[in-house]
Amino acid sequence: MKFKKISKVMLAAASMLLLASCGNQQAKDDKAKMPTSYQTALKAAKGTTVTYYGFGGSETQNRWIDKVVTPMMKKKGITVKRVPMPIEDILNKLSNEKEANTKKGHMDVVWINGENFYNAKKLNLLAGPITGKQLPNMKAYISASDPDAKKDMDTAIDNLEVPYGNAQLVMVGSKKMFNNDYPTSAKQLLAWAKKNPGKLTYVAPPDFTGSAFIRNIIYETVGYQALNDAPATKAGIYKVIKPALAYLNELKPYLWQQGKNYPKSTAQMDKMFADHKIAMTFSYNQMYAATNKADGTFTNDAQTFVFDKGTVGNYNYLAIPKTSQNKAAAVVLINTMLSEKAQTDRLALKYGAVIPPYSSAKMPAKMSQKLDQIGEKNDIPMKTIAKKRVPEVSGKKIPIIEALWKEHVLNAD
Amino acid sequence: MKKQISTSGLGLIGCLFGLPAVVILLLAIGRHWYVPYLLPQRWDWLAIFKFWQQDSTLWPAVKASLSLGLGTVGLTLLIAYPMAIALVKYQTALKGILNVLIYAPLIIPGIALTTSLDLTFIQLHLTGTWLGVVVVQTLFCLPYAIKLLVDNLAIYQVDYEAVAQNLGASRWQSFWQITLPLSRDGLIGAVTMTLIVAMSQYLTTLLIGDGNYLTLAINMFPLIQGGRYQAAACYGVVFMATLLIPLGLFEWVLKRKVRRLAHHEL
Repeated sequence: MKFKKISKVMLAAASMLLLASCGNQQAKDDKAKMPTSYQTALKAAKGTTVTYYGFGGSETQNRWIDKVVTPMMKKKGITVKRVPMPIEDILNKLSNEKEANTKKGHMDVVWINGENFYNAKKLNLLAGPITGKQLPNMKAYISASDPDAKKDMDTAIDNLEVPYGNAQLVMVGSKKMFNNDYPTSAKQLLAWAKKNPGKLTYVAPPDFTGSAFIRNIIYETVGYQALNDAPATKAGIYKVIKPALAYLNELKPYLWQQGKNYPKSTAQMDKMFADHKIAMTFSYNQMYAATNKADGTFTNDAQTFVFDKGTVGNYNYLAIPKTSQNKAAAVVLINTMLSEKAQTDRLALKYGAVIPPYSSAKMPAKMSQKLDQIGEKNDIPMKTIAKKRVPEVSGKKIPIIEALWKEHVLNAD
Repeated sequence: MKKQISTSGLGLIGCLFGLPAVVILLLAIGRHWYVPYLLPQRWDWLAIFKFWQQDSTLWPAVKASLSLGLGTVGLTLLIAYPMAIALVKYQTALKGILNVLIYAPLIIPGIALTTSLDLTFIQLHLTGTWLGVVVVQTLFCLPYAIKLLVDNLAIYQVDYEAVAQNLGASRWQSFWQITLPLSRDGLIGAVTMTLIVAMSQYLTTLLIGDGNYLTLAINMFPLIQGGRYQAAACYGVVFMATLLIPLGLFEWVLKRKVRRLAHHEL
């Protein structure tokens, strides 16, 4: 008897809960659907919370989201929640959600690019299409014909992600150790290393900056075109990059600890550089030396330079997972992050001075001026760096190159 | 019978455990710390307070860490304490197997366990909930808590409890006045270890919590990875404080209770 009574009460409570949730169902459906225009997105998103998932190890980017983007969203009546999560975990989570066959996830906007985008697209984890129709700022500042708006590391974007930041590999050298004469080619770098053994190193792949450095060495030795044309197979790539692997092996004994060990993270490499144990570090952020000088990590001895034949550049992108419960607010957040105000503020050193993803033809005049100004703090004009930009190869090839490096350089002897 | 530990021995232990904490503190308040110099070249004594003011995520992280940590301590004790008493008190054929099974969560690689649990928890609609995270954290804390409690209880072999019951104490009285005070050290150890393990959980909190619980560990880890050692050190100092204050309080309360009980008995 007692059991029956309890189950009756529970049933009544459950049905009441169900009724209460039905009222909200319509509004929930509205914001979970991909909005058709910015206006409908804004309307459906008002009063809601949107989540942003991405790499949380960059203090400046965290600050930019918290101090610039979040207040701008607040004015639109939307609360932003920033969650620091490495991209591997994001993809793990999204594929688990897919496997569990759930349509309800917690991620609304994710920071993604390159090989991770390739995988997410292959697994069908991302929602689309996101175009200029929902994003007025994308329409205003980014030409649809821009190579980086069409392809991300040679993977067709197909309106599944939106560029929101511009990255290019730059070298940072010690003025004192290089005697103000920087090695602007792989050849010069090798010559310097032979004269100054133990004073250079690079972060080991699969760290993505280390991986970019190795691609850059491949470009230096065999050229971008050869690698881009090579088939995405181990044998095909090995044939093409053999001279680059030979170069890295020639350099190896002159590296820090005779190339037997490599720093595991850029953080470790930066610390060694700051301590003058090594003469050079490198970064995917063009303004890296300037921001690190500003916060006291590097001294004025740190100078930015690029290779004469160019350095690899790519973009950071934002995407909306299929399981997002608030695609309306996700669209508003992406549009806000692309806005002129947010992007201009982001050029401040305290926000990492990230170069906007805007097409040069659509760049507002004020922004161009600002870019020239910050270039002065970086000892090298922004335009000079941009002119030396070479594209990335397919995201599919990157793990193959990393494996070949491991086999033929790291474990060569 | 207790031997006095020598001063040099104490100093060595102090250095071993104290130095890392000092380095973290120096990283937090020091500036311009380069290789040839033993100490930072500039000091910013208020760095931690400034960081607290600047980083709006710090205080919510303290709250999330404590809420999950205390929840985990509660659930862990609820399972571990009766389990430990049973393991000491009763002789069963399963005891050997149980003693090994307890360690299963630590034997299976954490990442494999967490990823598969994530899948199950999504199906159970437990991801992103407080209960879900507490349950998974408890899983990783149980081995430590049970081991510490069993070892402590085994010293007394629960014989005192039998004596008390022989003398006419009820089961409840013998537990409350004999077993509980006697397992004080085991309880302090179990709670300390559980809170430490729970608060240090990174991947489980992130994956099962689905970003709804941004604890100190979740905020600190990417900063260490990204080489932002100063910000990470500020988090480290706050982490230590968040851990030590409740543990100190707990120990104080438990010791007082035991002392009161002892007086009461006399």
